[in-house]
Amino acid sequence: MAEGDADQVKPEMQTLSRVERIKAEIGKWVESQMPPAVGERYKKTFTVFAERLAANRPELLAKLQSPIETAAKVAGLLDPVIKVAVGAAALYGGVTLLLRPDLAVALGSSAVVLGKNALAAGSAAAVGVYKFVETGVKESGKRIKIIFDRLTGFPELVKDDFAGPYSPLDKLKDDMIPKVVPKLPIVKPGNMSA
Amino acid sequence: MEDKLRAIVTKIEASTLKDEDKEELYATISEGLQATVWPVLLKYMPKEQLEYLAADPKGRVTVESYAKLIEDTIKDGVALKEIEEFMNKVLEEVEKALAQEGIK
Repeated sequence: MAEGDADQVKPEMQTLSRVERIKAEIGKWVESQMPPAVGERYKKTFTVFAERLAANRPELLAKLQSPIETAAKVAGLLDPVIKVAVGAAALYGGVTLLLRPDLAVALGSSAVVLGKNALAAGSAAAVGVYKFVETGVKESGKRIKIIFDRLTGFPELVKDDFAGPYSPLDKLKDDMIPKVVPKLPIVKPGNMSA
Repeated sequence: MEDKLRAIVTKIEASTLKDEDKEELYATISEGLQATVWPVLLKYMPKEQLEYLAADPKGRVTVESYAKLIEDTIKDGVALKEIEEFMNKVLEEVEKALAQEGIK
């Protein structure tokens, strides 16, 4: 069927434009499947958090690094390059994931198609970081390969956008590391508690 | 999911819709995808943690407590898998809605 040969339009939709009808159909389905589950009480919890973060963003950024640093120490991942890569991913993706998990998950997928590469890379990297933290803690022996696999392999979502020799890791390095390096604490072997 | 989404965008891009209409559809799709996330996350949030925070948000919701809540919710991957399943369903509905309007 060629475009424009629409199926029979329901009577109640006849006064709407084509786009409005599509939107209405999608909206109706989503509403039927996903009723508002965030009750007022829980909504308040998240609102308070969002306000707190908005007022104190640097604190969040500093604290986000902490669990990742800890996991890196546990795994023996003290290579500064890796620390920087993790820090960059955490900063870009972790913030998105923690602040708006809905956006991180949904836009991590849709953004790639819509061309918002930075956001997609950030979201993908965020999940990669969590995978890394989990893997790093459990399998401390594998170290470097795992983290690079996670950070460069997970952004499957964005591979088409970064096809060729310019890898997602290159993107991380070029775009994000300059912003992150100055903020990362220096941890050296033998100084595990730093 | 990525393939589905890509196919949908290709169809919309190839359609005769105006650019602003296309943008509206993308926004709708994005909202639909986002709408699947919180309900599923809530389902898998550790109830004790959630109740504890909700009982006194101002006093108890901190960066750490919130981060822990989200991390504990997604750490075994079950919630993320369910979210993906719902997102796939959303995209199937989008395809149907587009097809009804002759965008195939």
